[in-house]
Amino acid sequence: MGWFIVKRLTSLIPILFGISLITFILLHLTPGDPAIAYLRASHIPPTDEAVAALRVELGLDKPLYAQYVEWLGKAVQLDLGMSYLSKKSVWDEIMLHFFPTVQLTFASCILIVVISLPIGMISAIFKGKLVDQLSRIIAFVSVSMPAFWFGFLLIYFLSVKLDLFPVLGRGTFAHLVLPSLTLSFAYIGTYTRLLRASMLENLNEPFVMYARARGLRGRLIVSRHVLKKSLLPVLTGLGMSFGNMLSGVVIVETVFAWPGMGQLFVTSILNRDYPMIQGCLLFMGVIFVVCNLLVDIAYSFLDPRIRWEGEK
Amino acid sequence: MGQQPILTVNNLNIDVSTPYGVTRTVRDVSFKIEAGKVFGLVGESGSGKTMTCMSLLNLLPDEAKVVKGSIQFRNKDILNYSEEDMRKVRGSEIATIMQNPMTAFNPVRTIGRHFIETLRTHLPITKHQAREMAVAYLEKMDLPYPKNLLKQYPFQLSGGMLQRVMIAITMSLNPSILIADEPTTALDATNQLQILKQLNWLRKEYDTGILLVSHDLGVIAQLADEVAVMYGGYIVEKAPVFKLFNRPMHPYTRVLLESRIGLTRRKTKIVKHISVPPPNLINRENTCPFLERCEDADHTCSSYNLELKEYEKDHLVRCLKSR
Ligand SMILES: Nc1ncnc2c1ncn2[C@@H]1O[C@H](COP(=O)(O)OP(=O)(O)OP(=O)(O)O)[C@@H](O)[C@H]1O
Ligand code: SF4
Ligand SMILES: [Mg+2]
Repeated sequence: MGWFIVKRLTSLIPILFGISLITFILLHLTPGDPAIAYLRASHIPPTDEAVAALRVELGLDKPLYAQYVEWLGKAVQLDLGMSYLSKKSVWDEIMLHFFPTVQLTFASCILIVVISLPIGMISAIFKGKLVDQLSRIIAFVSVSMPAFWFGFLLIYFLSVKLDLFPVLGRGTFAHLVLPSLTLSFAYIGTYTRLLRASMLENLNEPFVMYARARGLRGRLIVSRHVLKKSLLPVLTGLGMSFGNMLSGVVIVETVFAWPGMGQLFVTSILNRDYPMIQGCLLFMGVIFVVCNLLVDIAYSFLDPRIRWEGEK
Repeated sequence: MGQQPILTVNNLNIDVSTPYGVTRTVRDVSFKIEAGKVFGLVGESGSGKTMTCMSLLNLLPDEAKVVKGSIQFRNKDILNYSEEDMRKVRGSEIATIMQNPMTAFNPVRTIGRHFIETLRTHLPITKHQAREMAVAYLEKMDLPYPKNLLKQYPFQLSGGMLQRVMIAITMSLNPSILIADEPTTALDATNQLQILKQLNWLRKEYDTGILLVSHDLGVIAQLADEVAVMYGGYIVEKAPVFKLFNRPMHPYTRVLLESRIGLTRRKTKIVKHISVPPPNLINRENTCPFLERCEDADHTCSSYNLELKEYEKDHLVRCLKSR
């Protein structure tokens, strides 16, 4: 087990290196001069002298590889530079916006699990019955309704009409309800169907037949035999969705004025705030990779076959 | 053989509904299983052996249904049992070992969990007691390091070992009937022999009646006391094992025996038999199921007379022209 984690951790190093390289190069391939962007963001007219002076100051006159080495060297010390726009440390800004996103992501994931697992399970067990039909409709609505529209519906009915929840912003626990509901809604359909399909597949496995032939109770077969194995694909998917949500969800954050990573990223792009864009990209990449690692580890707990493959 | 049978199957008929219509999968199947005896069932693929087995556990797939007949277990018809009553019978009274041991166990659960959950379903014992029982029975099956084995996952064991674990689980609840649907098909020769020995020991030691299904006549010859040959859902011949092997009466049984004895000598003849497609079970009329492939067939065979007749003591044949 420990060996498995060590192996996965070492495989992370080249991946992280690749992410940093791509992040760096991508930005230098995009048109536009960072120095000009800096001056614009600072409301200074970009005259030739000003640009030239700034290029030296920002180190943009050095060769690309030297810039990369310097940038990476600082990045590993969590120094991602200074935002052109706010003139604050990029790392501090990210941290400031990351926490709300984490909050939203966790709340949404809990909702996804709490809502889609029972529905998926029930619709697999009662395949073709009324509950299954209903869950099919819910799933269909969930994946086809745009998030912003669902968000506005919630705001309109639950906040404006019934005054149950605050409309916008972040603060109390009540502020969290509508955004996380909106965010999780789109995923609920997917995971309901995923679990249902996975369970139906496993219900037809010979091991279920053998379990029944040994006289095990139906409830035990579903909970101990079928459910555990059916959770494997759901877990993989959830891990990826988790990473996705952590890197920020622009639409939901915008609808609810939620000060998260998505907002930060979009603002920095609109303002050509290069260090911030780079910082965000790198940060999201790392988060995503770490999430995948955590999923793999969780997966190996659920599926012993993977654990032993790692030992070989 | 004057014993009271434990399980009596009478005139069993099973229909399976398919997209193409209703298949008459099992027809007029009757047999008895006595304590400590092995009843062998042979027949080609699709002849209805597995369906017959599953009906004894009341575990037919949704599409399949018993349309006629009775299955008397200790003088009660289990077809009338409630699901909960039947569940209690499964494993403890009528147990089964599966054809493919590699897929019968849940890959994400240890052997110990499989064993213990089975014991605790049927016996009022603690986990600890169940574990000790499991160890004892694994030892009886000559499985090495049973304590360690309980912690292992199915994929860490070989097919032969898993099959023996299955037998150990079965034995631990001391069932009166064991259904073994092709217990050796998925195994290599060495393991096959060992499993057969263990089954034999099981019926002697515990007086378990065994329903043994196999393609392999050698397996049947070694273990069975009585044999039924199935073809197209019917039992076409049923006899004590020595009678069947010494004096096969039904043309299909003879083909089976010949194809086993002289694979090389009579190749041409066998190829002929195999080249004819198996019987179409949908909407079949009441003629002999073997008609299309029978060498002895003539015009009298298409008349519908399908009784299983006793040609000599305990030797029953479903053929008009048996000698
Ligand atoms: N789930 C099912 N749905 C529809 N038809 C089925 C199903 N299972 C079996 N059948 C059909 O029922 C018939 C009998 O099948 P059965 O499995 O009992 O044969 P078998 O004698 O056990 O064959 P084998 O030696 O291949 O195991 C076959 O014609 C098969 O096609
Ligand atoms: S009844 Fe006729 S067709 Fe059927 S097995 Fe006997 S001889 Fe062959
Ligand atoms: Mg079969």
